[in-house]
Amino acid sequence: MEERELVKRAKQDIQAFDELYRIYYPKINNFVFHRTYDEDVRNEIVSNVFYKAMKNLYRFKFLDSHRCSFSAWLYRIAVSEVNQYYRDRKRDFKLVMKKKNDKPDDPTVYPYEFLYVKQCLSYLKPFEQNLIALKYFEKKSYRELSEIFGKKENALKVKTHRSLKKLKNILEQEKDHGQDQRYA
Amino acid sequence: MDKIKDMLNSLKIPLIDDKFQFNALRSRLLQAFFSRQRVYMLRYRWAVSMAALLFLILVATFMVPDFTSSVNTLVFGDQGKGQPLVAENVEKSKGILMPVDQGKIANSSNRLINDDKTYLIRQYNSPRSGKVMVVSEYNKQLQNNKIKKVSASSY
Repeated sequence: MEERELVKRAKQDIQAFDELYRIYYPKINNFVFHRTYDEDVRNEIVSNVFYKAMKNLYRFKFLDSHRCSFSAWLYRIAVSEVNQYYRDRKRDFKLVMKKKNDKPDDPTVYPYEFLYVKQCLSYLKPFEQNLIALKYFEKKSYRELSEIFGKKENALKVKTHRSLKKLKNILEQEKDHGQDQRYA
Repeated sequence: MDKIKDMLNSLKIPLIDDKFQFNALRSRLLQAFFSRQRVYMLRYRWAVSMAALLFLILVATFMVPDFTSSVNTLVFGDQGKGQPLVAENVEKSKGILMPVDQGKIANSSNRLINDDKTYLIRQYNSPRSGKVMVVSEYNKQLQNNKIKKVSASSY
């Protein structure tokens, strides 16, 4: 069934909403996993995203579907929830890293390179983290990113370039300080 | 810059497959599912039905005048029917408007007339005395020369 029709039905039909949930849960769950460090927090944020989506689905219209698809709308909620979480708890990346230094993600479960990049990514600003996570972890195109962030593609390209430059510097610095030995 | 792009693109991204959390959240969502449209429709139907009921009552009031009194009787029963409300009001108004010292009346030479008579009180505007109250017996023709001036006050 076409996504448009499915979303239209999901406003009244629980089965259609369930179908949407099945499609988008893994995607949103992965994105939130890339942005958080705690499983409980991830579960809480993902729950909030779907509760909010369910509650506000009646507001979502395909009148502006050329600007925002349902997928982008869900990601937008997820980004907002992640930002809200960090704002509420006032947990900057240093606090998170301090906590995680005691109990780092298990390198036997997740690839070492990924954990290392994720750690370095946390030194960037929240917007930059969201951008890189969506672009390189979720493999979103600039068109989809522009729908999610509500910005022009060219502006996002510039932002991504700057964020990558920052990340590159951080990776080099971390390498120099031997931070990567933690997971060795 | 291309180096880091290639590194990120070639990065092995772990995929989280948390079936337990998926099913737990799914069941919670299914339980809590509600449609905002359905809520609006319920409110709309309730408002329309109430408006229709009020409209029917309004029409019935015009078409059948006894309808409202029947409804009143139906709701409140015979409560408050045929009670001498006027007598109560008279008693109250006497106390408020004309405070009288009972002892003064008893000691005076005035005698209380026990006849049950009805009187009319008329109020006139007099250019000299201002407002004039005229008391006359009911069912008796008023005669100008026999009008008794009871009180005169100018405001």
